[in-house]
Amino acid sequence: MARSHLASTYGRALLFGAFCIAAVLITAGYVFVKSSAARQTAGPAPTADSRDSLATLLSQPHLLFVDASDMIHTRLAVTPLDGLGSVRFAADLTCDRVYFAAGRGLCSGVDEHYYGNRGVVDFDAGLQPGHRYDDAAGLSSRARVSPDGRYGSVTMFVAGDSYGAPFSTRDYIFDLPAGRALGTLEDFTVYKDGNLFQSPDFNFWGTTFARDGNRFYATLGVGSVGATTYLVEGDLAKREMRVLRTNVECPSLSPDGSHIAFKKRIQNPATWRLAVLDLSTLQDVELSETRSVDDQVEWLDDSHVLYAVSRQGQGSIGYSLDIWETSTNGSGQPEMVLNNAFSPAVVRSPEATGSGHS
Amino acid sequence: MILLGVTSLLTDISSEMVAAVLPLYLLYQLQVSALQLGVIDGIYQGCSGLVRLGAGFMADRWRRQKDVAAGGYALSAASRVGLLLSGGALVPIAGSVLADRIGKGIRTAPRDALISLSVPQERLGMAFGVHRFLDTGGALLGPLLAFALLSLAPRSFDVVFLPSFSIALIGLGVIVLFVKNREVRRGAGAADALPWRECARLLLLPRFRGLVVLSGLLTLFTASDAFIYIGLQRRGSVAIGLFPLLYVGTALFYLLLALPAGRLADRTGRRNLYLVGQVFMVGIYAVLLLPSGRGWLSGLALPLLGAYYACTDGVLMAAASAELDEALRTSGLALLTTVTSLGSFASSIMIGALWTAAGMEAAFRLMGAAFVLLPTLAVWTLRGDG
Repeated sequence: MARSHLASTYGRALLFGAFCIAAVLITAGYVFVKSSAARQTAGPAPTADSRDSLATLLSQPHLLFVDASDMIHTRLAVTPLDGLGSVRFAADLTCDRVYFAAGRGLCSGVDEHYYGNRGVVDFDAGLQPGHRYDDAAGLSSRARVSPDGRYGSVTMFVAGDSYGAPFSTRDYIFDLPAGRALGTLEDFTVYKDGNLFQSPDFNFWGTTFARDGNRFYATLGVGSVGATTYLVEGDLAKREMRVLRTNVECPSLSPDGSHIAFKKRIQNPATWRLAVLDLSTLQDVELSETRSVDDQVEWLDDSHVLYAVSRQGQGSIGYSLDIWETSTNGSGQPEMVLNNAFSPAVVRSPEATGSGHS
Repeated sequence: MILLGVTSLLTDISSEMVAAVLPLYLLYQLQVSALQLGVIDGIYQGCSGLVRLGAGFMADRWRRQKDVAAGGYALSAASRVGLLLSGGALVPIAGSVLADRIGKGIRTAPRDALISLSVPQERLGMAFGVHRFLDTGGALLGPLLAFALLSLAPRSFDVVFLPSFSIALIGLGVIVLFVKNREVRRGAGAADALPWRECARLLLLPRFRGLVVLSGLLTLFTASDAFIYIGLQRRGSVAIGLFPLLYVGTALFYLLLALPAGRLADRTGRRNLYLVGQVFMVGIYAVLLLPSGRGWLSGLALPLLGAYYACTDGVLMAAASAELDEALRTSGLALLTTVTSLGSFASSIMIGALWTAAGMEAAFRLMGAAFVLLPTLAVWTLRGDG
């Protein structure tokens, strides 16, 4: 009796030991294979020759974007506006979201070897990185620079500071010439129908700046899940915002400042339709794109927008994205204009540089 | 007891590995603004009480705490397979997360009952202290391990999910192979199954009932971590970039204090220490309401919160275990946890509503006042219950 009990304990320990060793070996082997694969997929760095061509390309009207041909090393890239995709060059800067205006760019998600996506760096017209903004932490999802190059903004997902929700968003504002953060939109005062509007579960995302260098628009979400979203119009100098209307996410102001392209939630939790809002009437028109788009769109001109749509595919992480174009009057068909690319930023006048012009 | 602690340590490493990278995974792999994961939490909040109570009653009815606990651990381990095979589709991922939470709901009460049955009554506090020490250790190690793995293979989330699965399986192995089902002493007429109506007896135990009412009332006015952290940050005492460190800091203090607090509870009385623990929450309310500008005072919030957990979480379970007949222990602990978690849920809703109506300061002031006043009154009236 005692003997068989001892034997069974011994047997169980042996079984368990063998199981542990097997589990550890299989797991370690898998991690090893995956990590060597990750190292090999790093693409070639730009050559001296391509650097010269890059300079030429940057002197013409161009589109900056993030190259998605290698989803692990997503590089800042450039292609001419006149012939999208005819030539494309990737710079030696890894980003998850880029934007550029008046000689200053923002790239968020700079460190490809870090586990996630922390840190924001600005870059110049030659795509050379400059100041790092260390205050901004989280997973970057949106980036914008004001038309005069004075202010920058990024939206970050932050883990777990909202009850009932695993994570929430933060919208940072940067003073780009000074290279410092001006805080987050949560520090600003919000008014709704003239009254003070406050709640512990405010989330802000998707800023877009007006030409006057002070006004901006953003999304305010209240609550965590299936939150009511509002379009707010803000004043950077006064650090104030006021609510304009509901169900507007990721606003993007048209070049003439009269319209806002945005994503409109048509079904919870995650189905959006692109639409354009007339700021004079606050009425919107849905665009002909019928797929759900989760992006902050970019205006190509006063009547066309660019946005990224994801596509299942091969490669290291199983999907990629392409940039599509559609007209903003609600007619016409969406058209794919650049494959393996996302986060478009249109640079129409490369010669305009910096805040001196504003 | 140590073995259960090891299982909890491994399972927590496994769970926290996944929890730490899930937002990244959803964002990169699924391209969804992963705020929607909260939907799952909402669904779970609705059924968590039923899961807990159901599992607790089953464990007592069939006297199989170990098997029910192992079932919970198994469900959590199996949920990792769902993540590995989901291929990036939202529904299987949501299902996996839900399965993990249900597994946790199933196993908590039977596991705590097993811990309490593994030691003599005078060492209950220490037993829970050891367990919570290992459990919190797992919660701290998980994210570190996950991020170390991801830095080896950036954005290949399988390198986190597969090890997480292996670790959960090893933890499950420990409980299945080495933890014994406790022989529970039964009264006369030892029928095969404990009759359902026996469970109703729980509410007739005056001291246990007093503990349930008191802890429920206290949690109703206790600010949750999330609100405490948001409060600290809005007062300007904590840079936003440091936010994740608040969780780590609190867990670290909890880890350090869990065992000493458990031993202290055994010596000074577990109910007494549970009440002393509430003083730390009063301290946190004080820090949140102090005039801002004294950053060092806000720094006190983390040790206070760690001490609050060390003196209340495991200690409450130990205090309740001492009051509960072995035959009804799992159901009793499940009932107590259900009441306290309903209390916290209601508390969050109240703080949210007060904040929206009157602002942050007013919300903390009202909740703090209620926290001090109402339970004091309750303690006063419950004293007679002895």
